[in-house]
Amino acid sequence: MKKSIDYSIEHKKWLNKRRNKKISVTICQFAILIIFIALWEIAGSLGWINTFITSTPSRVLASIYNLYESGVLFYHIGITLLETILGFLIATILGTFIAIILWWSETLRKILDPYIVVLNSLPKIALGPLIIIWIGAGMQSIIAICVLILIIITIISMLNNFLECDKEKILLMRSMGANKFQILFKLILPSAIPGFISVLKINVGMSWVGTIIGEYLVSSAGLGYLIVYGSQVFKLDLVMASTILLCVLASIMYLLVSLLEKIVLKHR
Amino acid sequence: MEPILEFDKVFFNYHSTSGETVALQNISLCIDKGEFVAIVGPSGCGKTTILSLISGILKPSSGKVLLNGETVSNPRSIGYMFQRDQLFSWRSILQNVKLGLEITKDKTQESKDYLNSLIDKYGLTDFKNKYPHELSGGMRQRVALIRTLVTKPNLLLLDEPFSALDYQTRQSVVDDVATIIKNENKTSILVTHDLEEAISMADTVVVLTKRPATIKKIFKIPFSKQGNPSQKKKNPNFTKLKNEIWKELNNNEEVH
Repeated sequence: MKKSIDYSIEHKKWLNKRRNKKISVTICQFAILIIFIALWEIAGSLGWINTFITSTPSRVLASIYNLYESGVLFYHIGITLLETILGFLIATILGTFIAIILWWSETLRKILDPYIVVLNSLPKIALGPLIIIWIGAGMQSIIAICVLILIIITIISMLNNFLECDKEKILLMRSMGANKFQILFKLILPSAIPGFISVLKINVGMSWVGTIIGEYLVSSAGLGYLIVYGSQVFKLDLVMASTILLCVLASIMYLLVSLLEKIVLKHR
Repeated sequence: MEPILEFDKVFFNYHSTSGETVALQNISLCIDKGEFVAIVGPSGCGKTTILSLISGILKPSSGKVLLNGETVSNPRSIGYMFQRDQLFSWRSILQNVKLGLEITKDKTQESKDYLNSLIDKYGLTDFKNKYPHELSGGMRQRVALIRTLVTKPNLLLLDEPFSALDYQTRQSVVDDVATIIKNENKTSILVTHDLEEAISMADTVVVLTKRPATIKKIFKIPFSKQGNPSQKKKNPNFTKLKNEIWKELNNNEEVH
Protein backbone atom coordinates (compact mmCIF):
# COMPACT_ATOMS: atom_id res chain seq x y z
CA MET A 1 0.00 0.00 0.00
CA LYS A 2 3.06 2.27 0.04
CA LYS A 3 2.54 3.08 -3.61
CA SER A 4 -0.94 4.57 -3.08
CA ILE A 5 0.30 7.87 -4.56
CA ASP A 6 0.59 6.21 -7.99
CA TYR A 7 -3.02 5.03 -8.06
CA SER A 8 -5.66 6.79 -10.13
CA ILE A 9 -8.53 8.56 -8.39
CA GLU A 10 -10.89 5.84 -9.53
CA HIS A 11 -8.71 3.16 -8.03
CA LYS A 12 -8.34 5.09 -4.77
CA LYS A 13 -12.11 5.38 -4.59
CA TRP A 14 -12.46 1.67 -5.14
CA LEU A 15 -9.88 0.93 -2.45
CA ASN A 16 -11.64 3.29 -0.02
CA LYS A 17 -15.00 1.72 -0.72
CA ARG A 18 -13.56 -1.71 -0.15
CA ARG A 19 -11.92 -0.69 3.10
CA ASN A 20 -15.06 1.05 4.37
CA LYS A 21 -17.10 -2.04 3.66
CA LYS A 22 -14.62 -4.20 5.55
CA ILE A 23 -14.69 -1.81 8.52
CA SER A 24 -18.48 -1.72 8.63
CA VAL A 25 -18.68 -5.51 8.54
CA THR A 26 -16.25 -5.74 11.47
CA ILE A 27 -18.21 -3.10 13.41
CA CYS A 28 -21.45 -5.03 12.85
CA GLN A 29 -19.81 -8.27 14.00
CA PHE A 30 -18.71 -6.69 17.27
CA ALA A 31 -21.98 -4.81 17.66
CA ILE A 32 -24.01 -8.03 17.56
CA LEU A 33 -21.86 -9.54 20.30
CA ILE A 34 -21.95 -6.43 22.49
CA ILE A 35 -25.70 -5.89 22.05
CA PHE A 36 -26.37 -9.53 22.83
CA ILE A 37 -24.29 -9.45 26.01
CA ALA A 38 -25.76 -6.10 27.08
CA LEU A 39 -29.36 -7.24 26.46
CA TRP A 40 -28.70 -10.44 28.35
CA GLU A 41 -27.31 -8.51 31.33
CA ILE A 42 -30.10 -5.89 31.29
CA ALA A 43 -32.86 -8.46 30.86
CA GLY A 44 -31.40 -10.36 33.79
CA SER A 45 -31.07 -7.40 36.13
CA LEU A 46 -34.55 -6.04 35.28
CA GLY A 47 -36.10 -9.45 35.87
CA TRP A 48 -37.34 -9.98 32.27
CA ILE A 49 -35.78 -13.42 32.29
CA ASN A 50 -35.31 -15.92 35.05
CA THR A 51 -31.61 -15.63 35.85
CA PHE A 52 -31.71 -18.88 37.76
CA ILE A 53 -31.94 -20.76 34.48
CA THR A 54 -30.39 -18.25 32.04
CA SER A 55 -27.65 -16.74 34.23
CA THR A 56 -26.18 -13.34 33.24
CA PRO A 57 -22.82 -12.29 31.75
CA SER A 58 -21.68 -10.83 35.05
CA ARG A 59 -22.55 -14.04 36.90
CA VAL A 60 -20.77 -16.07 34.23
CA LEU A 61 -17.66 -13.94 34.73
CA ALA A 62 -17.96 -14.27 38.48
CA SER A 63 -18.28 -18.00 38.08
CA ILE A 64 -15.11 -18.17 35.98
CA TYR A 65 -13.35 -16.00 38.57
CA ASN A 66 -14.51 -18.34 41.35
CA LEU A 67 -13.02 -21.30 39.50
CA TYR A 68 -9.81 -19.35 39.14
CA GLU A 69 -9.81 -18.34 42.83
CA SER A 70 -10.24 -21.90 44.01
CA GLY A 71 -7.39 -22.90 41.72
CA VAL A 72 -9.30 -25.40 39.55
CA LEU A 73 -9.94 -23.29 36.41
CA PHE A 74 -6.76 -24.29 34.61
CA TYR A 75 -6.99 -27.81 35.95
CA HIS A 76 -10.36 -28.38 34.25
CA ILE A 77 -9.32 -26.55 31.09
CA GLY A 78 -6.06 -28.51 31.03
CA ILE A 79 -7.78 -31.89 31.35
CA THR A 80 -10.23 -31.18 28.53
CA LEU A 81 -7.54 -29.66 26.35
CA LEU A 82 -5.26 -32.65 26.88
CA GLU A 83 -8.03 -35.12 26.02
CA THR A 84 -9.02 -33.16 22.94
CA ILE A 85 -5.51 -32.70 21.61
CA LEU A 86 -4.56 -36.33 22.25
CA GLY A 87 -7.78 -37.58 20.64
CA PHE A 88 -7.26 -35.25 17.69
CA LEU A 89 -3.61 -36.24 17.15
CA ILE A 90 -4.08 -39.98 17.62
CA ALA A 91 -7.11 -40.11 15.31
CA THR A 92 -5.52 -37.94 12.62
CA ILE A 93 -2.15 -39.70 12.60
CA LEU A 94 -3.49 -43.24 12.95
CA GLY A 95 -6.30 -42.57 10.46
CA THR A 96 -3.88 -41.19 7.87
CA PHE A 97 -1.56 -44.14 8.42
CA ILE A 98 -4.39 -46.64 7.88
CA ALA A 99 -5.45 -44.70 4.79
CA ILE A 100 -1.90 -45.06 3.43
CA ILE A 101 -2.03 -48.84 3.96
CA LEU A 102 -5.41 -49.03 2.21
CA TRP A 103 -4.06 -46.93 -0.67
CA TRP A 104 -1.12 -49.27 -0.93
CA SER A 105 -3.12 -52.48 -1.20
CA GLU A 106 -6.12 -52.45 -3.50
CA THR A 107 -7.09 -55.96 -2.38
CA LEU A 108 -7.14 -54.99 1.30
CA ARG A 109 -9.14 -51.90 0.35
CA LYS A 110 -11.76 -54.00 -1.38
CA ILE A 111 -11.93 -56.56 1.44
CA LEU A 112 -12.32 -53.96 4.18
CA ASP A 113 -14.71 -51.70 2.26
CA PRO A 114 -17.99 -53.04 3.74
CA TYR A 115 -16.58 -52.90 7.27
CA ILE A 116 -15.58 -49.28 6.85
CA VAL A 117 -19.01 -48.44 5.44
CA VAL A 118 -20.76 -50.06 8.41
CA LEU A 119 -18.43 -48.46 10.97
CA ASN A 120 -18.97 -45.11 9.31
CA SER A 121 -22.74 -45.31 9.52
CA LEU A 122 -22.70 -46.56 13.11
CA PRO A 123 -23.25 -43.78 15.67
CA LYS A 124 -19.95 -44.28 17.47
CA ILE A 125 -21.34 -42.92 20.73
CA ALA A 126 -23.33 -46.16 21.03
CA LEU A 127 -20.04 -47.88 21.77
CA GLY A 128 -19.34 -45.52 24.68
CA PRO A 129 -20.60 -47.80 27.49
CA LEU A 130 -18.71 -50.77 26.00
CA ILE A 131 -15.49 -48.80 25.83
CA ILE A 132 -15.83 -47.71 29.45
CA ILE A 133 -16.29 -51.33 30.52
CA TRP A 134 -13.44 -52.55 28.37
CA ILE A 135 -10.74 -49.99 29.11
CA GLY A 136 -11.98 -48.52 32.36
CA ALA A 137 -13.62 -45.30 33.47
CA GLY A 138 -11.23 -42.42 33.12
CA MET A 139 -9.34 -40.28 30.71
CA GLN A 140 -8.36 -43.24 28.51
CA SER A 141 -12.04 -43.91 27.73
CA ILE A 142 -12.71 -40.30 26.85
CA ILE A 143 -9.76 -40.23 24.48
CA ALA A 144 -10.86 -43.55 22.99
CA ILE A 145 -14.38 -42.23 22.32
CA CYS A 146 -12.90 -39.11 20.75
CA VAL A 147 -10.59 -41.21 18.53
CA LEU A 148 -13.44 -43.51 17.55
CA ILE A 149 -15.61 -40.61 16.45
CA LEU A 150 -12.82 -39.10 14.32
CA ILE A 151 -10.89 -42.01 12.90
CA ILE A 152 -13.33 -43.58 10.45
CA ILE A 153 -14.10 -40.33 8.70
CA THR A 154 -10.38 -39.49 8.68
CA ILE A 155 -9.59 -42.81 6.98
CA ILE A 156 -12.32 -42.36 4.37
CA SER A 157 -11.44 -38.73 3.58
CA MET A 158 -7.70 -39.33 3.40
CA LEU A 159 -8.09 -42.45 1.27
CA ASN A 160 -10.31 -40.60 -1.22
CA ASN A 161 -7.77 -37.84 -1.15
CA PHE A 162 -4.98 -40.27 -2.09
CA LEU A 163 -7.04 -42.00 -4.77
CA GLU A 164 -7.94 -38.68 -6.40
CA CYS A 165 -4.33 -38.17 -7.41
CA ASP A 166 -4.02 -37.69 -11.17
CA LYS A 167 -3.37 -40.99 -12.96
CA GLU A 168 -1.16 -39.22 -15.48
CA LYS A 169 1.09 -37.95 -12.69
CA ILE A 170 1.47 -41.52 -11.43
CA LEU A 171 2.28 -42.70 -14.95
CA LEU A 172 4.82 -39.91 -15.25
CA MET A 173 6.52 -41.03 -12.03
CA ARG A 174 6.55 -44.64 -13.22
CA SER A 175 8.01 -43.66 -16.57
CA MET A 176 10.89 -42.12 -14.64
CA GLY A 177 11.36 -45.46 -12.89
CA ALA A 178 9.75 -44.56 -9.54
CA ASN A 179 8.87 -47.36 -7.14
CA LYS A 180 5.76 -47.33 -4.99
CA PHE A 181 7.54 -45.71 -2.03
CA GLN A 182 8.73 -42.86 -4.21
CA ILE A 183 5.26 -42.43 -5.70
CA LEU A 184 3.87 -42.27 -2.16
CA PHE A 185 6.38 -39.83 -0.72
CA LYS A 186 7.08 -37.63 -3.72
CA LEU A 187 3.59 -37.51 -5.22
CA ILE A 188 0.65 -38.93 -3.26
CA LEU A 189 1.44 -37.39 0.14
CA PRO A 190 2.46 -33.91 -1.05
CA SER A 191 -0.51 -33.67 -3.39
CA ALA A 192 -2.84 -34.71 -0.55
CA ILE A 193 -1.78 -31.86 1.73
CA PRO A 194 -4.68 -29.50 0.87
CA GLY A 195 -7.09 -32.37 1.53
CA PHE A 196 -5.23 -33.17 4.74
CA ILE A 197 -5.73 -29.60 5.92
CA SER A 198 -9.50 -29.82 5.35
CA VAL A 199 -9.52 -33.09 7.31
CA LEU A 200 -7.66 -31.28 10.12
CA LYS A 201 -10.27 -28.52 10.09
CA ILE A 202 -13.12 -31.00 10.37
CA ASN A 203 -11.29 -33.00 13.04
CA VAL A 204 -10.59 -29.94 15.17
CA GLY A 205 -14.33 -29.36 15.55
CA MET A 206 -15.20 -33.04 15.88
CA SER A 207 -12.53 -33.70 18.53
CA TRP A 208 -14.29 -31.28 20.87
CA VAL A 209 -17.56 -33.12 20.26
CA GLY A 210 -15.84 -36.43 21.05
CA THR A 211 -14.21 -35.18 24.22
CA ILE A 212 -17.30 -33.50 25.64
CA ILE A 213 -19.48 -36.52 24.89
CA GLY A 214 -16.83 -38.68 26.55
CA GLU A 215 -16.80 -36.41 29.58
CA TYR A 216 -20.59 -36.55 29.77
CA LEU A 217 -20.41 -40.32 29.96
CA VAL A 218 -17.51 -40.74 32.31
CA SER A 219 -15.37 -38.10 33.98
CA SER A 220 -14.33 -36.51 37.24
CA ALA A 221 -12.77 -33.40 35.76
CA GLY A 222 -12.83 -31.22 32.66
CA LEU A 223 -15.21 -28.69 31.14
CA GLY A 224 -17.70 -31.37 30.08
CA TYR A 225 -17.68 -32.61 33.67
CA LEU A 226 -18.37 -29.07 34.93
CA ILE A 227 -21.32 -28.79 32.53
CA VAL A 228 -22.85 -32.07 33.69
CA TYR A 229 -22.11 -31.34 37.34
CA GLY A 230 -23.45 -27.79 37.08
CA SER A 231 -26.69 -28.91 35.47
CA GLN A 232 -27.22 -31.62 38.09
CA VAL A 233 -26.87 -29.23 41.03
CA PHE A 234 -28.63 -26.44 39.10
CA LYS A 235 -25.59 -24.16 39.08
CA LEU A 236 -26.36 -22.82 35.62
CA ASP A 237 -23.80 -20.03 35.99
CA LEU A 238 -21.21 -22.77 35.97
CA VAL A 239 -22.79 -24.48 32.91
CA MET A 240 -22.81 -21.21 30.98
CA ALA A 241 -19.26 -20.36 32.05
CA SER A 242 -17.93 -23.76 30.91
CA THR A 243 -19.77 -23.52 27.60
CA ILE A 244 -18.27 -20.10 26.91
CA LEU A 245 -14.80 -21.34 27.82
CA LEU A 246 -15.30 -24.22 25.37
CA CYS A 247 -16.32 -21.76 22.69
CA VAL A 248 -13.14 -19.76 23.17
CA LEU A 249 -10.83 -22.80 23.27
CA ALA A 250 -12.38 -24.41 20.17
CA SER A 251 -12.07 -21.15 18.24
CA ILE A 252 -8.40 -20.79 19.18
CA MET A 253 -7.66 -24.33 18.02
CA TYR A 254 -9.50 -23.71 14.74
CA LEU A 255 -7.57 -20.48 14.19
CA LEU A 256 -4.29 -22.34 14.72
CA VAL A 257 -5.23 -24.84 11.98
CA SER A 258 -6.23 -21.98 9.67
CA LEU A 259 -2.87 -20.40 10.31
CA LEU A 260 -1.15 -23.68 9.45
CA GLU A 261 -3.21 -23.79 6.25
CA LYS A 262 -1.99 -20.35 5.21
CA ILE A 263 1.64 -21.30 5.77
CA VAL A 264 1.46 -24.72 4.09
CA LEU A 265 -0.62 -23.74 1.07
CA LYS A 266 1.41 -20.67 0.16
CA HIS A 267 2.37 -22.03 -3.24
CA ARG A 268 -0.84 -23.71 -4.37
CA MET B 1 18.21 -47.04 -39.82
CA GLU B 2 17.53 -49.25 -36.83
CA PRO B 3 13.96 -49.55 -35.65
CA ILE B 4 13.46 -48.41 -32.05
CA LEU B 5 9.82 -49.43 -31.80
CA GLU B 6 8.01 -52.22 -33.53
CA PHE B 7 4.33 -53.22 -33.60
CA ASP B 8 4.00 -56.74 -35.01
CA LYS B 9 0.41 -57.77 -35.88
CA VAL B 10 -0.96 -56.28 -32.68
CA PHE B 11 -4.56 -56.93 -31.63
CA PHE B 12 -6.07 -55.47 -28.51
CA ASN B 13 -9.42 -56.18 -26.88
CA TYR B 14 -11.00 -54.30 -24.01
CA HIS B 15 -12.86 -56.41 -21.47
CA SER B 16 -15.78 -55.21 -19.42
CA THR B 17 -18.68 -56.92 -17.72
CA SER B 18 -20.90 -56.02 -20.66
CA GLY B 19 -18.57 -57.79 -23.08
CA GLU B 20 -15.52 -57.51 -25.22
CA THR B 21 -14.59 -54.65 -27.56
CA VAL B 22 -11.97 -54.95 -30.24
CA ALA B 23 -9.93 -51.75 -30.03
CA LEU B 24 -6.95 -52.51 -32.28
CA GLN B 25 -6.92 -54.88 -35.21
CA ASN B 26 -3.75 -56.10 -36.81
CA ILE B 27 -1.54 -53.05 -36.28
CA SER B 28 1.95 -53.41 -37.72
CA LEU B 29 4.24 -50.44 -37.55
CA CYS B 30 7.93 -49.73 -37.43
CA ILE B 31 9.44 -46.57 -36.02
CA ASP B 32 13.07 -45.67 -36.66
CA LYS B 33 15.44 -43.97 -34.30
CA GLY B 34 15.07 -40.20 -34.47
CA GLU B 35 11.81 -40.41 -36.38
CA PHE B 36 8.82 -38.24 -35.50
CA VAL B 37 5.56 -40.11 -36.03
CA ALA B 38 2.10 -38.61 -35.68
CA ILE B 39 -0.94 -40.82 -35.22
CA VAL B 40 -4.25 -39.35 -36.32
CA GLY B 41 -7.70 -40.86 -36.43
CA PRO B 42 -11.32 -40.31 -35.51
CA SER B 43 -11.89 -39.68 -31.81
CA GLY B 44 -12.21 -42.80 -29.71
CA CYS B 45 -10.43 -44.93 -32.30
CA GLY B 46 -7.79 -46.20 -29.91
CA LYS B 47 -4.94 -43.73 -30.25
CA THR B 48 -4.38 -43.62 -26.52
CA THR B 49 -4.57 -47.43 -26.41
CA ILE B 50 -1.54 -47.48 -28.70
CA LEU B 51 0.38 -45.22 -26.31
CA SER B 52 -0.59 -47.42 -23.35
CA LEU B 53 0.70 -50.48 -25.23
CA ILE B 54 4.00 -48.75 -25.94
CA SER B 55 4.46 -47.82 -22.29
CA GLY B 56 3.61 -51.33 -21.16
CA ILE B 57 0.57 -50.33 -19.09
CA LEU B 58 -1.52 -52.55 -21.35
CA LYS B 59 -0.45 -55.84 -22.88
CA PRO B 60 -1.49 -56.73 -26.42
CA SER B 61 -4.14 -59.47 -26.73
CA SER B 62 -1.99 -60.94 -29.46
CA GLY B 63 1.04 -59.83 -31.44
CA LYS B 64 4.15 -58.10 -30.16
CA VAL B 65 5.17 -54.61 -29.13
CA LEU B 66 8.96 -54.35 -29.11
CA LEU B 67 10.95 -51.43 -27.77
CA ASN B 68 14.61 -51.71 -28.73
CA GLY B 69 13.89 -55.32 -29.65
CA GLU B 70 12.48 -56.19 -26.23
CA THR B 71 8.95 -56.68 -24.95
CA VAL B 72 7.99 -53.69 -22.84
CA SER B 73 6.98 -54.44 -19.27
CA ASN B 74 7.09 -51.07 -17.57
CA PRO B 75 7.02 -47.49 -18.77
CA ARG B 76 10.65 -46.85 -17.89
CA SER B 77 12.85 -44.93 -20.33
CA ILE B 78 9.82 -43.37 -21.97
CA GLY B 79 9.18 -39.65 -21.70
CA TYR B 80 5.61 -38.42 -21.46
CA MET B 81 3.91 -35.20 -22.37
CA PHE B 82 0.22 -34.94 -21.56
CA GLN B 83 -2.59 -32.57 -22.40
CA ARG B 84 -2.04 -30.90 -19.06
CA ASP B 85 1.55 -30.20 -18.08
CA GLN B 86 1.27 -32.22 -14.83
CA LEU B 87 3.90 -30.12 -13.11
CA PHE B 88 3.89 -30.57 -9.34
CA SER B 89 2.45 -27.38 -7.88
CA TRP B 90 4.36 -27.74 -4.61
CA ARG B 91 7.75 -27.86 -6.32
CA SER B 92 9.64 -24.98 -7.87
CA ILE B 93 10.49 -25.20 -11.58
CA LEU B 94 14.01 -26.41 -10.79
CA GLN B 95 12.67 -29.05 -8.39
CA ASN B 96 10.15 -30.15 -11.02
CA VAL B 97 12.83 -30.54 -13.66
CA LYS B 98 15.02 -32.42 -11.17
CA LEU B 99 12.30 -34.96 -10.36
CA GLY B 100 13.63 -37.64 -12.69
CA LEU B 101 17.16 -37.48 -11.29
CA GLU B 102 15.79 -37.65 -7.75
CA ILE B 103 13.84 -40.79 -8.58
CA THR B 104 16.76 -42.57 -10.21
CA LYS B 105 19.00 -41.25 -7.38
CA ASP B 106 21.32 -40.05 -10.12
CA LYS B 107 23.83 -37.73 -8.48
CA THR B 108 26.54 -37.84 -11.15
CA GLN B 109 28.09 -34.60 -12.28
CA GLU B 110 27.32 -35.55 -15.88
CA SER B 111 23.57 -35.60 -15.24
CA LYS B 112 23.71 -32.36 -13.27
CA ASP B 113 25.58 -30.71 -16.13
CA TYR B 114 23.07 -32.03 -18.66
CA LEU B 115 20.19 -30.70 -16.54
CA ASN B 116 21.82 -27.29 -16.22
CA SER B 117 22.63 -27.17 -19.92
CA LEU B 118 18.97 -27.89 -20.77
CA ILE B 119 17.83 -25.19 -18.37
CA ASP B 120 20.21 -22.66 -19.88
CA LYS B 121 19.63 -23.66 -23.49
CA TYR B 122 15.87 -23.47 -23.30
CA GLY B 123 15.57 -20.28 -21.30
CA LEU B 124 14.41 -21.53 -17.93
CA THR B 125 17.22 -19.87 -15.96
CA ASP B 126 15.10 -16.91 -14.88
CA PHE B 127 12.20 -19.14 -13.84
CA LYS B 128 14.20 -21.69 -11.87
CA ASN B 129 12.91 -20.62 -8.49
CA LYS B 130 9.38 -19.77 -9.56
CA TYR B 131 6.40 -22.05 -8.99
CA PRO B 132 4.27 -23.52 -11.80
CA HIS B 133 1.27 -21.25 -11.13
CA GLU B 134 3.47 -18.23 -11.83
CA LEU B 135 4.17 -19.38 -15.43
CA SER B 136 2.09 -19.17 -18.60
CA GLY B 137 0.55 -22.30 -20.11
CA GLY B 138 3.08 -22.41 -22.96
CA MET B 139 6.01 -22.01 -20.60
CA ARG B 140 4.67 -24.76 -18.38
CA GLN B 141 4.52 -27.17 -21.32
CA ARG B 142 8.10 -26.31 -22.11
CA VAL B 143 9.09 -27.11 -18.52
CA ALA B 144 7.16 -30.38 -18.80
CA LEU B 145 9.16 -31.31 -21.90
CA ILE B 146 12.50 -30.42 -20.30
CA ARG B 147 11.52 -32.49 -17.25
CA THR B 148 11.10 -35.60 -19.41
CA LEU B 149 14.28 -34.92 -21.38
CA VAL B 150 16.42 -34.83 -18.22
CA THR B 151 16.15 -38.59 -17.78
CA LYS B 152 17.26 -39.15 -21.39
CA PRO B 153 14.29 -41.26 -22.54
CA ASN B 154 14.65 -43.41 -25.67
CA LEU B 155 11.20 -42.44 -26.78
CA LEU B 156 8.86 -39.48 -26.27
CA LEU B 157 5.12 -40.04 -26.17
CA LEU B 158 3.12 -36.89 -26.79
CA ASP B 159 -0.55 -37.39 -25.90
CA GLU B 160 -2.30 -34.33 -27.38
CA PRO B 161 0.04 -32.02 -25.51
CA PHE B 162 -1.23 -28.87 -27.22
CA SER B 163 -4.98 -29.32 -27.08
CA ALA B 164 -5.37 -27.56 -23.73
CA LEU B 165 -3.59 -24.42 -24.94
CA ASP B 166 -5.43 -21.44 -26.39
CA TYR B 167 -5.12 -20.77 -30.11
CA GLN B 168 -2.61 -17.91 -29.82
CA THR B 169 -0.04 -19.73 -27.71
CA ARG B 170 -0.57 -23.02 -29.45
CA GLN B 171 1.40 -22.31 -32.62
CA SER B 172 4.38 -20.94 -30.75
CA VAL B 173 4.40 -23.88 -28.34
CA VAL B 174 4.18 -26.32 -31.26
CA ASP B 175 7.23 -24.61 -32.83
CA ASP B 176 8.98 -24.58 -29.50
CA VAL B 177 8.43 -28.25 -28.73
CA ALA B 178 9.23 -29.37 -32.30
CA THR B 179 12.50 -27.42 -32.25
CA ILE B 180 13.58 -28.80 -28.89
CA ILE B 181 12.77 -32.39 -29.93
CA LYS B 182 14.68 -31.94 -33.18
CA ASN B 183 17.67 -30.42 -31.37
CA GLU B 184 17.82 -33.29 -28.91
CA ASN B 185 17.19 -35.78 -31.73
CA LYS B 186 14.50 -37.75 -29.88
CA THR B 187 12.27 -40.41 -31.37
CA SER B 188 8.73 -39.19 -30.79
CA ILE B 189 5.16 -40.34 -31.20
CA LEU B 190 2.47 -37.69 -31.27
CA VAL B 191 -1.17 -38.54 -30.86
CA THR B 192 -3.49 -35.79 -32.04
CA HIS B 193 -6.78 -35.03 -33.74
CA ASP B 194 -5.35 -31.87 -35.27
CA LEU B 195 -4.20 -32.63 -38.82
CA GLU B 196 -2.19 -29.44 -39.28
CA GLU B 197 -0.33 -30.13 -36.06
CA ALA B 198 0.43 -33.67 -37.21
CA ILE B 199 1.63 -32.72 -40.72
CA SER B 200 3.68 -29.74 -39.57
CA MET B 201 5.51 -31.64 -36.82
CA ALA B 202 5.97 -35.21 -38.02
CA ASP B 203 8.13 -37.09 -40.52
CA THR B 204 5.44 -39.73 -40.86
CA VAL B 205 1.67 -39.49 -40.37
CA VAL B 206 -0.23 -42.69 -39.58
CA VAL B 207 -3.97 -42.55 -40.30
CA LEU B 208 -6.15 -44.93 -38.31
CA THR B 209 -9.69 -46.08 -39.07
CA LYS B 210 -12.59 -45.98 -36.67
CA ARG B 211 -12.79 -48.64 -33.97
CA PRO B 212 -11.69 -51.37 -34.34
CA ALA B 213 -8.66 -49.38 -35.40
CA THR B 214 -6.55 -50.58 -38.29
CA ILE B 215 -3.89 -48.65 -40.15
CA LYS B 216 -5.62 -46.92 -43.02
CA LYS B 217 -2.63 -45.36 -44.64
CA ILE B 218 0.87 -44.13 -43.82
CA PHE B 219 2.02 -40.81 -45.25
CA LYS B 220 5.66 -39.77 -45.42
CA ILE B 221 5.96 -36.01 -45.17
CA PRO B 222 8.35 -34.91 -47.95
CA PHE B 223 9.07 -31.47 -46.45
CA SER B 224 9.49 -32.64 -42.86
CA LYS B 225 13.09 -31.41 -42.61
CA GLN B 226 12.36 -27.96 -43.96
CA GLY B 227 12.17 -25.66 -40.96
CA ASN B 228 9.90 -25.46 -37.97
CA PRO B 229 6.15 -26.21 -38.03
CA SER B 230 5.15 -22.60 -38.80
CA GLN B 231 7.47 -22.52 -41.80
CA LYS B 232 6.33 -25.92 -42.99
CA LYS B 233 2.73 -24.76 -42.92
CA LYS B 234 3.66 -22.21 -45.58
CA ASN B 235 5.04 -24.93 -47.87
CA PRO B 236 3.04 -25.09 -51.12
CA ASN B 237 2.55 -28.84 -50.71
CA PHE B 238 1.19 -28.51 -47.18
CA THR B 239 -2.43 -27.84 -48.10
CA LYS B 240 -2.39 -30.45 -50.84
CA LEU B 241 -1.17 -33.08 -48.43
CA LYS B 242 -3.60 -31.97 -45.77
CA ASN B 243 -6.52 -32.37 -48.19
CA GLU B 244 -5.28 -35.78 -49.18
CA ILE B 245 -5.06 -36.98 -45.56
CA TRP B 246 -8.36 -35.32 -44.76
CA LYS B 247 -9.96 -37.32 -47.56
CA GLU B 248 -8.57 -40.53 -46.12
CA LEU B 249 -10.02 -39.71 -42.72
CA ASN B 250 -13.45 -38.77 -44.07
CA ASN B 251 -13.57 -41.60 -46.52
CA ASN B 252 -13.28 -43.84 -43.54
CA GLU B 253 -16.27 -42.14 -41.87
CA GLU B 254 -18.42 -42.95 -44.89
CA VAL B 255 -17.52 -46.61 -44.82
CA HIS B 256 -18.88 -47.01 -41.30
